[in-house]
Amino acid sequence: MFQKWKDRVTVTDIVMWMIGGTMLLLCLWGSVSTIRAGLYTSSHWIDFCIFGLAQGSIYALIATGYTMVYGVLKMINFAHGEVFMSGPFTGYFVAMAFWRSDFLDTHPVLGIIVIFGVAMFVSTMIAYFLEKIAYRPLRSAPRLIPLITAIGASFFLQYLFRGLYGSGINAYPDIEILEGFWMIFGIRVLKIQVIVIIAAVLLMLVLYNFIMLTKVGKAIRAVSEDKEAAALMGINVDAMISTTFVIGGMAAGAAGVLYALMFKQVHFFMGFIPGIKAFTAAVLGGIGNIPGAMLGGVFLGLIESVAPALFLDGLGIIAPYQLKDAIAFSMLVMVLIFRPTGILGERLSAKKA
Amino acid sequence: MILLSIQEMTKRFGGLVALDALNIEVKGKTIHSIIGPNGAGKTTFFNCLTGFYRPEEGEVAFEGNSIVGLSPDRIVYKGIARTYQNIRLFPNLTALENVMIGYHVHLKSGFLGPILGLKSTIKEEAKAKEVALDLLKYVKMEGKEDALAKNFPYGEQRKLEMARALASQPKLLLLDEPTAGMNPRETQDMMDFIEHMRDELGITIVLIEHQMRVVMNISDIVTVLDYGKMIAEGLPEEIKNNKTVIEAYLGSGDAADSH
Amino acid sequence: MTKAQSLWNHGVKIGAIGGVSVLIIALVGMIESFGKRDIISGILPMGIAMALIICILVAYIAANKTPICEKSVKFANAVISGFVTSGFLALLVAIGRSFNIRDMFVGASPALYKALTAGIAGAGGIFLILAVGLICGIFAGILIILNDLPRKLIINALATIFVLGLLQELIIPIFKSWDFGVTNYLGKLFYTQNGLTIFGTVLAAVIYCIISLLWKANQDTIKTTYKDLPKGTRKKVKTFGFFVLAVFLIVLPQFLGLFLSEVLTIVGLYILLGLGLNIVVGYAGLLDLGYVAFFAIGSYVVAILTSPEIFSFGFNFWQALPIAVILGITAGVMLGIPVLKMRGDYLAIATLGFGEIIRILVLSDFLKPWLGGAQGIGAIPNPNFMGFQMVKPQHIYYLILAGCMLVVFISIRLKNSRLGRAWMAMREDEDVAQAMGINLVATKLFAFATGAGFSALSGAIFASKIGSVYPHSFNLFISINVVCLIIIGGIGSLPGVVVGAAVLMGLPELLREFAEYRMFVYGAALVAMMLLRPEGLWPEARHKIELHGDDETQTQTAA
Ligand SMILES: Nc1ncnc2c1ncn2[C@@H]1O[C@H](COP(=O)(O)OP(=O)(O)OP(=O)(O)O)[C@@H](O)[C@H]1O
Ligand SMILES: [Mg+2]
Repeated sequence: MFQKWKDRVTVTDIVMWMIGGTMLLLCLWGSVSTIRAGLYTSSHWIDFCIFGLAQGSIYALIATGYTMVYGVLKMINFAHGEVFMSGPFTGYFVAMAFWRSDFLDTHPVLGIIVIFGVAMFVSTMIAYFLEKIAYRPLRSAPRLIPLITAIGASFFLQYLFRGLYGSGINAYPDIEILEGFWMIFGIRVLKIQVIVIIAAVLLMLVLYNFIMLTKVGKAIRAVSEDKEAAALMGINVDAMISTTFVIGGMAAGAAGVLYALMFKQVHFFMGFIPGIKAFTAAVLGGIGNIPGAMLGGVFLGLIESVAPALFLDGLGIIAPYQLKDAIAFSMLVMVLIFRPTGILGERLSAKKA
Repeated sequence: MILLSIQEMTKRFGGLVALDALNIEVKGKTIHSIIGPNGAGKTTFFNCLTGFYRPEEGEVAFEGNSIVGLSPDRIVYKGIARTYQNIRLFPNLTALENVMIGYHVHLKSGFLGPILGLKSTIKEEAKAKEVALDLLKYVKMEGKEDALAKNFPYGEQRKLEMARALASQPKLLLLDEPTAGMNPRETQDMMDFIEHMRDELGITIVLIEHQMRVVMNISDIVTVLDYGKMIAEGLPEEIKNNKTVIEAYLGSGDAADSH
Repeated sequence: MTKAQSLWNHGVKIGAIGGVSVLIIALVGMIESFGKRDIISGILPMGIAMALIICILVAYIAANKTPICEKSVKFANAVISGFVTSGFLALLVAIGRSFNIRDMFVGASPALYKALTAGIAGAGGIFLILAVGLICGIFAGILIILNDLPRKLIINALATIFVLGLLQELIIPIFKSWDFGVTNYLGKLFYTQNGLTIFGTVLAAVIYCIISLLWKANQDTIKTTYKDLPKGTRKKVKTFGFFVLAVFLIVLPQFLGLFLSEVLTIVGLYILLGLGLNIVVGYAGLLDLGYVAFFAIGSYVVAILTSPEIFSFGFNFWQALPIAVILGITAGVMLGIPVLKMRGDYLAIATLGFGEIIRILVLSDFLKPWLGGAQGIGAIPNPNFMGFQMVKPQHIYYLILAGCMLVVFISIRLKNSRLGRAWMAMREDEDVAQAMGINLVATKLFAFATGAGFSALSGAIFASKIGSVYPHSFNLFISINVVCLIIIGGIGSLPGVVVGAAVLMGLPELLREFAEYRMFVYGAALVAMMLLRPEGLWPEARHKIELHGDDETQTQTAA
């Protein structure tokens, strides 16, 4: 009996279980001691959660782009973070022009809509040409090649925008109507965070319904299931792949402006970290699965904002917020290790992982 | 003498039952053919034997020892080798390297051996090269050892894959449609070759085959699968006239190429 | 579309692509910042040379792509394309002079316009741009019309001039350091303080043409003579070649000044890193983007053990080195285990995640008492070799050279072994490799461990060379740089690593202005390389065709 067992369980399995178990125990222990120590009040936790939700819904919007592209091309669009960056970075100049001319004070809603429009347009264009120039010729290349191309494109775009718009950190102007607090059920919440959450949820609803209900959406889904079969059914696969990038670019551009309004700054490197986090979110939700990506994004945002305080403070770690990104990356690695199919979906068979 | 015995093997893909409580026994030094319409589960059967898939239920005994649940690399060490329905060579390696990789299980050197140039490693490498060259000669591909695998014509790729499988010096060889896409001449060569392996090398062969002429000519015993179930087993002549088999083939619609 | 339109389509379309390219180069500031360096002294600044090259290249492509075989049509398309390309720049100058677009595009400065128009104000400058574009187009058109031989001669002679101008900072110090009358004289003949002399330019072109014509006339005889040599003699020639190479590598730093030796050590470190990653990516096919982590581990181990700043273990470099390598290998195995089951892009992202986690941890206040946080660890002593302090870059060079030799040796030995074949089999088809009896776990871990060991080795040398370590020296860009250099050099090819490191790491050190555009150019180069020449600059002999083919084996499942 033991012999049989020995042949079938590998050392690596055991090591992995141990790593997983240790992480889990550490988190548990950290949470218990944080809560016992009572370092934070419940209003702190609520603040964390709302911030996390706002940030998470931004990740969710970006993640849909990753997940849709993975669906149709089976590749990680490493440069999606730059698609996200390009919009709000360009929108910044519009915002500044409006701000200087007082347009933002007199017509704030219209101004914001124009900023969104410009940003989404730029992001969409970048995504569209990215696919057309860099990815389309490589459809049938070995898998490593499009990935390397995507990495190259990512750095090219980052430094292109650095060269064009400068390397400084630019502060988005304050917009009167987005400042201040609202009292909701007796809780003081930042207006901007609520607005970000609502806007992101609305956009995701539109996007989801578009994919699920429209003809184009159905065609895109068909292409992600099986390109050849879709082509046989008379679907223009190239056009659908382009459309996918366009939709992903629009979502990313919108997410970018929300991000810029919330954090008030844009710079050429701003896409990198959110990009990787959104990818994490997409994997969390089961890559290729659109609602999964949305949930994954929100979940990741929440964890990221709650975890440093909850898990790490209790372990006696100094300045836990410095490790915020490390937590997100650890999540990424953990998910890739233990559940490459994501928490929601079985869309991706273990083979592809 | 029974070399391989499969009991109640079941493999499911979601709702689809690809193999349904299969019981097969393979006698040593025979050519045992597996036939059946497309999608019957033949390749899946191979994948379960070689550890690529893990069957949900059932037992596989090879030379009396259970091999179910072992990883593919361990199963090779037990003495089972295979080829693939759609040739899977290492396309960018040379023919020689491909075959030498087949001999991997008989080599021992690790990390330091080659770096330090140990005598045992050098000897072992020379032996591996010799075996590989011999095998290439055996499949009539001598002099082509330095060409990349992907640059060979189809028929030679099949032979190269066979040489690679033979390099592990298996007791049981699983061949998945070795004559697919071959012209009658090449098919005849392949048949001779398979019989030769049984008679001269004493290897037991499980053969998946669509061409009835091949099956009827060289098989010692034939098993017929349909929808993952075994529907008949027997000598080639018995199978030829078996009603269920004929129905299964005709019923499957695509007239299961019995060219 | 009418026929006439479709005839000129290529010229306009490709010209527009070229126009966007020069526009980008102008707006990111490359033309301006390369304007201070002259290719030909006082006549051709490098920034302008780049724009000209693009313009000519694009016109050439436009003509080449024109399907109709009449030479006049091709010629016309080249001219059109050149004109369109320059039109974009002219437009930029016109707009930029009358509106302030500088708020948005930081590079759109008066200095740029001045550089583009050669200082001519008003409409004259704009006409100049258009005229130059037209001339470029005509030049490309002439190239197209010419026969093969003169075309190649002209193109290569121009390339020679460009390279000579580009590498002036490499060549001039070498001339100077020899300090013979002749070399000084040669140096003065060819170069001014900034750029080639006109006489030197012409001379270089002429010399190039003569040499290449001579070579062309005699290459067949030379090659066949070599082939006809008896085997023993050929081997002797080869051995002699290696000997010359070895002597060259050993005496090299004596001829290079301090600055060039410094460049050489940087290139050498990257070669070392590249050779290590080549095993992981090139042989085993595992795209590791967290490679810098092991470099960091090697550096930090040496720093902690030898520097008196945090702990005073008081090790010397030679004692710390093996520990660093062993810890690097251990880390390689430990980080390798969790990612064993991942393939392709998932592996890349997970390793990237690991690299970042390690950097964030090192940077954090949490580990500051041990690792020094953002301030890092300083006061790392120089290595001491048999009582000799290795202070100068020339000394470190030998350390790196020894490291590279060792790693090249190990790479070659491993490649033709059971393990090396297992790596390559795994790279080609993981499932089949496993079905050949290859233990994927062990094979992958060996690849990670070997790569990590080499990386830690270069990290250790790096730490003692710089004398201090900071978390910022170990960011993702190091990993990306190394990946870039092995891919641009040619995946799996050892000479490719050297070429890749020399081009990607050496050039930016020689062209300081370039540093700013490093990642911009790398990114573009990666994309261009994957689209046009995926096998790299110096491919491994048999890989030449590999990456062009389509990819059935990678997508099919075990059938
Ligand atoms: N990885 C998999 N996931 C889901 N279904 C699978 C998988 N592999 C095989 N199947 C299904 O199992 C059934 C049996 O497939 P299998 O490849 O074994 O057929 P076969 O007998 O080899 O057919 P053929 O003669 O066409 O080669 C088919 O319906 C197939 O679609
Ligand atoms: Mg089959």
